[in-house]
Amino acid sequence: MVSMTARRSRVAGAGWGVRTWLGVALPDRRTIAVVRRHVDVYRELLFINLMLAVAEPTLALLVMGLALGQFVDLGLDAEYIVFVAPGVVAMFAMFSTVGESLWGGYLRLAQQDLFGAMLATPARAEDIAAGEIVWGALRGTISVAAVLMVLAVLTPAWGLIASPLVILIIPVAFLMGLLFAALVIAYIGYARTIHHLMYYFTIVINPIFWFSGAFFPLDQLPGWAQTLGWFNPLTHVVDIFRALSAGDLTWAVAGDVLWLAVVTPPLCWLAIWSLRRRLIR
Amino acid sequence: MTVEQTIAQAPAGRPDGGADPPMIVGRGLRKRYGDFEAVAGIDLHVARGEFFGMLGPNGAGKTSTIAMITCVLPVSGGELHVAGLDVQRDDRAIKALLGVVPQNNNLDPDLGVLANLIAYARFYGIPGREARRRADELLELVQLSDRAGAAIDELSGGMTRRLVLARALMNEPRILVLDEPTTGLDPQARHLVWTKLQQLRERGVTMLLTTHYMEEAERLCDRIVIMDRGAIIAEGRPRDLIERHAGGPVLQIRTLDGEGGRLREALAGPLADGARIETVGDLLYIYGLDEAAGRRAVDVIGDPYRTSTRHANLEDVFLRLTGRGLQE
Repeated sequence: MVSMTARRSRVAGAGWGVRTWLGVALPDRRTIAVVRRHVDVYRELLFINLMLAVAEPTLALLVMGLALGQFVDLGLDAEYIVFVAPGVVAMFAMFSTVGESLWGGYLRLAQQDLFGAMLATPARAEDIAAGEIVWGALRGTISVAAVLMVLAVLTPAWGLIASPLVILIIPVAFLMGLLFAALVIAYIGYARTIHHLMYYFTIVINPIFWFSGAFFPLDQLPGWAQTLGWFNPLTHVVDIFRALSAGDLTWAVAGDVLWLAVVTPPLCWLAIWSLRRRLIR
Repeated sequence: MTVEQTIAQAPAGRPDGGADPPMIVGRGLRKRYGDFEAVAGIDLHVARGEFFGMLGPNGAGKTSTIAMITCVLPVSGGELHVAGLDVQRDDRAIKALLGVVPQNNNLDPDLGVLANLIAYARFYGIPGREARRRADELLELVQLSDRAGAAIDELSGGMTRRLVLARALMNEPRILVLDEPTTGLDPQARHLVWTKLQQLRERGVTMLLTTHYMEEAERLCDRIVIMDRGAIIAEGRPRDLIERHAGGPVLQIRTLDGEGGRLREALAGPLADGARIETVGDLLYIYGLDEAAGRRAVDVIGDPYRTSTRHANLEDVFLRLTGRGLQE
């Protein structure tokens, strides 16, 4: 048995004989059962959840775009609110995903033993991790759809959306959600207390948030800061969102999409590996 | 390969042609965590329809054994087959045949009573309408029909445990794994759970039970094993084990402060050969007494209110074999 091919190795409650990719088996349809559990919970408080998804970004847009915007001159042609609106979309997408996956994911893992209950079914750790990632991405996508509706309502007044291409923000938001959910799930596999979540937020999420080009253009910063910005996933997301709402597509935008598409799959693998390692000793 | 195909391909009978394959077979089964060996090469055999119990002190390896049987933890060594399927390969197919009542009540606190069952059913690929039918039926069985819409934290301890049992039955399991199913329940709630388990057993479900309640094991199990330090140290029917390891009546003596050692010495003479003394806390248990020796022992104590006689039970077997009475 041991001499089977190198690709067959010990995995989630199974041993030799289950095919794995670098120690991780492919998730299957149980992933959907995990996601549907989360949808059930989201729907229990659907009205409040959707109200919050709309109210928060509206407030942020009005405060940043109008109040703050009176004092900001970026030297661009457009009003500050037009510049900052796609950044607000990206910001809320990231916070929705990170909030769900970090606090919610850790709660389900460590406090509720929900993953333990799921492991007793035909689900493997891989399915559970994949379900968590997909749900985190969906939370971000829901948030983006809500903010886009707010932007659409405000567009007659401030011209926030200039192109129907804006609708393409939604699939990009899902990709971005996968990336951020994976980034978080990979970490909660190692988090031992609720305090570790706060460290992660401060050390990883906050810098990503502030230095992404959401609130000011990175190209006015020194070269080294721009280089750092290139490694920030949110920078690419903001660039894509800004281009799509302006209808201003360039090859640079294709590069941003490629960046996300290349970085996301290994991160998803890492997240599944990390959660599996935590669940299966 | 789908779970359903794997099950269909499972061996239909024993290699010797018998019609009833054993549900759980382990040979030289091991579980290691780093340097620590939690399960040190045990053999297991559970027949179809059997009510099988695993007893042992905390850390004896029961939970690790259960985790390997339920395909949650990988096997470190040896072989383990469940319903003819290999746990190392067919984990999904095996898990589809199992119902698990875990030690902790890991119900979904964000969903209601009925919603818990429905969400759980999806992991088995049970279609929505069928899941609803089974959920209604099971809530009826565990007497929670009037609580279908309740939140989990509104349930009492007994109700919570019954709901966990109902959840374990959603996939109509062939093997029910019960990890301390009645811990923390009051006597009424325990009896209710026991009644349900016996009903299920009569329907042919194979049962695998771990418990710290000897009375529970004695009452429910056809056969038990006692584990200690990762090994099986005794195996048999509860009544046979009691007969073999504890014998007839037990004389129980409540000792006063610090006199335990002196009493043991004083009793050594009057007791006939074959009688054995165990210390459990402030109690001395004397096994294997005949009537005359019993009277002599009571005379030594002098105070009849500190002595009593009772029948030997599984707890005596457990204490003797695991040596817990002597150690602590």
